[in-house]
Amino acid sequence: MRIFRAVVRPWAAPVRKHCGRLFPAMRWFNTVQGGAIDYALHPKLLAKAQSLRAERDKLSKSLTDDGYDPAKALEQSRLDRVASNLARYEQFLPTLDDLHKLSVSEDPEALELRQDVLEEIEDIKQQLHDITIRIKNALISTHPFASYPCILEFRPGIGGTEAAIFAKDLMNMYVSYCTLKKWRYSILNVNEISGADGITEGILSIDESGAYERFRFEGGVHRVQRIPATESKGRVHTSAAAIVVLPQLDGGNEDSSDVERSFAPGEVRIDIMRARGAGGQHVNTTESAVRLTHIPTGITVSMQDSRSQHKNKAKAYMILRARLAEKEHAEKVANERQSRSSQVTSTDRSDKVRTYNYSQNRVTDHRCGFTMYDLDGCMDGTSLQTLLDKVAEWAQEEEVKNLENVE
Amino acid sequence: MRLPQAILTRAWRESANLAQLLPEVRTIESARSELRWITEYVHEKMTDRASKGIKVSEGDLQNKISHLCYLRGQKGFPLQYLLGSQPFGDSLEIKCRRGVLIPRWETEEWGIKVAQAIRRSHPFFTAGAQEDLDPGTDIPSEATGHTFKVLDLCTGTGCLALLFAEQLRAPTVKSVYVEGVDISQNAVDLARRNRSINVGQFEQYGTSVVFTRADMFALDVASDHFDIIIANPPYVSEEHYYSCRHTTRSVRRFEPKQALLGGIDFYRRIFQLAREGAVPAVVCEVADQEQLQEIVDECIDDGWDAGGMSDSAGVARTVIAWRKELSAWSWMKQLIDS
Repeated sequence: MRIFRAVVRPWAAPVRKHCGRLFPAMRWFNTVQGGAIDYALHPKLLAKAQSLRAERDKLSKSLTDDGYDPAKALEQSRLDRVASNLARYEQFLPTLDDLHKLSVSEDPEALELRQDVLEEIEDIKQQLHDITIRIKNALISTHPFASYPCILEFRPGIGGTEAAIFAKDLMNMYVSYCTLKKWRYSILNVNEISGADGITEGILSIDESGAYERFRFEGGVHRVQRIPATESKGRVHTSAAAIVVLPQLDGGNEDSSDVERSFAPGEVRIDIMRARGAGGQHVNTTESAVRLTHIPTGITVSMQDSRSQHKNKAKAYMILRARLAEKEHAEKVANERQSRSSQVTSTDRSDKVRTYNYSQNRVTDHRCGFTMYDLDGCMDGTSLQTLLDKVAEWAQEEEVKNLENVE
Repeated sequence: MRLPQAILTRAWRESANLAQLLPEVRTIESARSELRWITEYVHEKMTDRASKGIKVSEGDLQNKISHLCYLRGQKGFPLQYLLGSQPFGDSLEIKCRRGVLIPRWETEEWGIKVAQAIRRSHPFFTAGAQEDLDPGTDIPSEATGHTFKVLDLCTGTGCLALLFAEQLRAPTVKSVYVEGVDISQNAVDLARRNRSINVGQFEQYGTSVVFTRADMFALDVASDHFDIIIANPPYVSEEHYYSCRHTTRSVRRFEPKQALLGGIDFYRRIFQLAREGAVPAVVCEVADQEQLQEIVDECIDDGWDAGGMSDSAGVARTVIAWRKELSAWSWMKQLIDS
């Protein structure tokens, strides 16, 4: 059996062991007065929740009037969650106020009940706390691409051959994760380097709806610390590989020409890499590489995986569209952020997202500070789930913090 | 031309198989791709064999790979004959074997373009069932019928016929019928085999494909009411066939001369068939601009509109012709090069 040890390291400084011994009264004070439980909703969030409730009534009216629309229905279920939790929140607040008054009154009857009242207050605060969490989660708007399948792109960073090998290791990690989950995936393109088991580019398509949401925060630079296979003197090297996460907008099953026609004529230049000459029946070439250049943005996509030029072109168009969609979205988010005065932390790709340390058998995610001492399990996909969950949790907390900061 | 020593050295350093491929494949990048496809093919075949209980050792695997690389690079065998197939269209797999012309990427390209244009613009595919019966339109009876009929001449592996069957999906209550014709029994056998392999791609849409052995010079289509004739006839001239600048050695050595050597006679006959059978549209592959011009001048009379369409390498590759008086086909001018 594999030894499995997971350590959670939250942002807050660790609680010192002797703390409880030095200030025993403090802990009692905290629990009773409720300083520890954050039960009240931030006024801004409360306002937002109330406005969403008003929106829900409008939406449900339009749903009954204009007929069923899956996107609207999904939005409504989110707003329903906000509304029902808000109703409970508002119902509990006056009760809490009454109990507070009762707990401080000097009436002998009330004094008799004080212990029960205090317990009751604790209970309600706990419930309110749960409700506020639920409201906050429902307030976070879902990512526009959340329900889409995704495309992961792997490229080596600094570190030469070792980085190329690591890029391949990373790709294999996601492939095994998908195999474990029984998700459909396909490797769209692999550029292998010569002489070693590495890649200069790898494109992995994961055809499972919602995969984008799952892997959204995997984008960024992944760092590896290990003794490379190429190292002769046994020194530990630090190298890196980058991952880009793109939404797959076409679902992979549509008519291949639909994507092509979504671009204006002249917007994309197609280069086929083959020798000049008579062509046709005169020659039989196996050269099937295709390169697309999106002229307005200068994005290029090369594809040489399949023996069919037509298939390479179709794949290249799919990736081009995904990159454009991602770029558009990133620009939109950046604009929104600029228009806000407050500092809003970004959950998008930061420079270095994760470190894989082989000699310590450790994986650390630098954004949420989570460290896991099960590198092998991570690389073969079995315990990658834990890591993904922690990052998703962290991202949600960040979103909530952003909600409180806005406007 | 001799390969530069630098490339050979680089290839040898990487792997012996890669160096084996180079004389025929010429560049390291393509050699790498081909080596990958060969390796994938051998692995697939060996796992297939292993699942049948035949023992396969790692040595057998490596031997097989290096043998294929030898045949490909040193003997110049076409990769498609070695691997036995070529992917075609969206999801077709076309089997290839000696004696039948290998499908070219140019054919795939124009086939998809034309088929998709038909599906988008021809009234048979765009109009609803009710509008069809409207007597006010000038659409001929063929187009308003319930079957869209395609005739593929010189079908070879059957790749074009199957491509049209895959791409043309008839609306409900209608159907598509594709007939492929070839003079070679070998080709017709292979085409039938390809039909049975790929039948799942079009059967569910009510499309049927038939292959018959016939000489197109003795063919009678007068009563068949085809909607379009497509063809990839032999078009390499004698002069080009024996010139190394035009026709590569591997093509001359391994592919059937019968499917390559030809010219204007074939196009003359195709347009004659179109006139006899009252076929409203014809699309054929051609060698170059010169041949295209010759066809337009000699084979097409005043009743037709015609033009050429280039492939993405910039070579004039198809002649497209349709009857002037039929509005159902007038959209075809969008395909013509400007």
